[in-house]
Amino acid sequence: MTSLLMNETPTDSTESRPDRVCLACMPRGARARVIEVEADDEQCATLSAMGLCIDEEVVIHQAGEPTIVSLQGGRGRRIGLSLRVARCLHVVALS
Amino acid sequence: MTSSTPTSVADTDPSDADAGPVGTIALFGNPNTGKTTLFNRLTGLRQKSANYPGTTIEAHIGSTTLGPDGPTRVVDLPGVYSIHLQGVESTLCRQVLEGSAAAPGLLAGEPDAVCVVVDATALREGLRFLGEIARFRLPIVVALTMLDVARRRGIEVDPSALQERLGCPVIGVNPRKGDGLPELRSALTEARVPRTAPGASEADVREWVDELQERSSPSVDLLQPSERVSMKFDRAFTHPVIGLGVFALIMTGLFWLLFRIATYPMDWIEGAFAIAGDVVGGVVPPGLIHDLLVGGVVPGIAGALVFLPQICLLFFLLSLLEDTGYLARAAFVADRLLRRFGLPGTAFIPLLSSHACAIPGIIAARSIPNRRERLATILVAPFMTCSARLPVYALLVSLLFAGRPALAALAFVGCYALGVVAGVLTALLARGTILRGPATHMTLELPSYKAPSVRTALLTAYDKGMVFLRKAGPYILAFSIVVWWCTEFPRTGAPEESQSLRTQAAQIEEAQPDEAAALLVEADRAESKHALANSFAGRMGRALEPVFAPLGFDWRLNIGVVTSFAAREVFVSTIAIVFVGDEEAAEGEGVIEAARTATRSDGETLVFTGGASWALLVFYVLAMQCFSTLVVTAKETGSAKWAVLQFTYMTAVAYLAALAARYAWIALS
Repeated sequence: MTSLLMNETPTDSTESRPDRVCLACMPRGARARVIEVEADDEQCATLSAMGLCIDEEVVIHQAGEPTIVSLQGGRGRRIGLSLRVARCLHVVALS
Repeated sequence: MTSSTPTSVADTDPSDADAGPVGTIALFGNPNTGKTTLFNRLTGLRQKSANYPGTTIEAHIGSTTLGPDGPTRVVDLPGVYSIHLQGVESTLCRQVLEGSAAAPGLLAGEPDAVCVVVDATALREGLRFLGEIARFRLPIVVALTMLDVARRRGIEVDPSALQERLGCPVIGVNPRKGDGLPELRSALTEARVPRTAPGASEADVREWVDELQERSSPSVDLLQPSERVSMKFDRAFTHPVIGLGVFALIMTGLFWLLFRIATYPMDWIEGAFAIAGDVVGGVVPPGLIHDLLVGGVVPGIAGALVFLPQICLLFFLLSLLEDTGYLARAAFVADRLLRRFGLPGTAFIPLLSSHACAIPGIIAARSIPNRRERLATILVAPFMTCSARLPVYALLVSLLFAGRPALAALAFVGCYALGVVAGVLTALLARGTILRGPATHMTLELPSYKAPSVRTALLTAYDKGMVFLRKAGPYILAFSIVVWWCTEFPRTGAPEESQSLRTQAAQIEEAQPDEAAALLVEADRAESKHALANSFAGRMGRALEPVFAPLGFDWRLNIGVVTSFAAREVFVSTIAIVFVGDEEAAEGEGVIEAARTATRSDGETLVFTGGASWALLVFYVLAMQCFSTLVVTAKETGSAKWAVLQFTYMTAVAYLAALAARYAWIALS
């Protein structure tokens, strides 16, 4: 799976998934796996360097503005994201 | 990962790598890993700051003793998440590793060793960053920090397992307490090139990181209760209502402390330099050198040093606050307020700092990663009411609202509000025109809450104070001497009025000594007024009459406008000389009374009419009357053009707003 650039045609593997939602839509306390980052190159690189990359498992501690997530299934770095950035991250919910 | 893993760029035997004493160690790490605290621990006060050539990035260079071979240089690089991002900090880190950039005063070349600081609570990201650096095949030591916090979160990291796989020293340290420092010092003399590094592709990197993490941190326990509490704090501190309340409370407290505490050392400095001026005046024989020292050099040094307590205290308090982890949360609250004006949440601290002095505010704007947003913040920071404006406000508000304290207080608040409104509207204008560009949407790491380190805060305050003195000090001193020269030259003889007063004093000296002394004081004042009126500053005041006449300014007010370009508060002392003839009158009611009754050349019209006073007040709220700030703007933006733009724009806005204020007053009255 790869990160998508904004305005680029998404690949089937991510967009066709019926359970794909944006991170901003996830409720507090939910666990999710990042499957797609829809942003420009630099933002993708920044998010990836901070740990928010494809396949990362996150826990949503706060929904809305700002959205706060923990990496590594809730035990890693805690990151605050403005709602606009949270909308760029697409995830699948984990049980 | 095994030695045959295809993700390795080059697997080398550790014994091949150079080991032994090193000359320069470069410190790399992600933000919030404790890198700078570690640097401070290693170097103490044996450090200095300077910009990397051609950049506004500050290099912190210090020295430490690792072994018997004498001191070793340590360079603290800016904290970045990746060396492959486009930002100047990432580019600089990359160039240092390539050997194409060097800290000021050092020759370019690869560092002898690299110390990579990895946060155990963010091991994956730290290892990813380590992988980027490992590709440069330089001797490395890994300093593993935050092991205690990781443990609280249920993460166990085994440094020895990591060391075994990497083939370079991995040392667990606690920079705050100093634990592990002796081991790290020892390891830095034995830095080695890692035997493994990831390939360039994302899949290779992930595989490399996964393998290392599996070996060093296999077990994960349940989340600890302390972490749940800190998450509740996060929710409260970023809440639209509660967060804003906490934010307002903390910032009010910070500025109350700042103004309350800094007043004492500022008074001491002013008092000490007043004594120094007297001492120098008594020791150096009368003449040009005497006047230069007493009138230009001593006040110039005092003018630079007097800001130091506010600047050091501000950065001390901000460092404490940042260390607690609160500022990252506060940035999201500020972001909601500032975003609509094209500024990021991280601009709040620079703008707030500018209410003490624009210089530390502009320096603090370095924390804004986006260049356009940083420039916009720097451009508008001097609109905020700094403490140097307060004496001017006090004078003018006293003239406008004599005997009406409630209205005077309201006018003071109005001045602060006008500055803020002008600043944010200017930011909106700049971001829509010359600094147009996409807004950075906040993505911030929220570091763990912890007790702040006083040691780090003290070192930060010391460092920022030195940066201010080096950057602004020489210019403040130089401009003070220029202003002294403009007000002292050309020298003219005593006016007839003073000669007559002296003659009268001589005649009654024996019979009425008190009256004679009073006449001599009057003669001195007449000479001071005459000298200033005929000086270059006085001539400039007259030359500027056509420019400022629409605002209702008398030529004597123009002298104040010219001299206060050195520092705004100089306006009050200039007015004291112009209207009273005695600079010391600026401290008391004398200057207000003299200004209230001063008349123009026709002998009837007041100098400080209502319209002129309102215009002057608005002009001082908005005008860029601070040479030192312009110097710092030029240095921080890396170009004089931004300083010129700032001066031109603010002066134009101030002039037009002052004109509008005067005519509004005339229309209403």
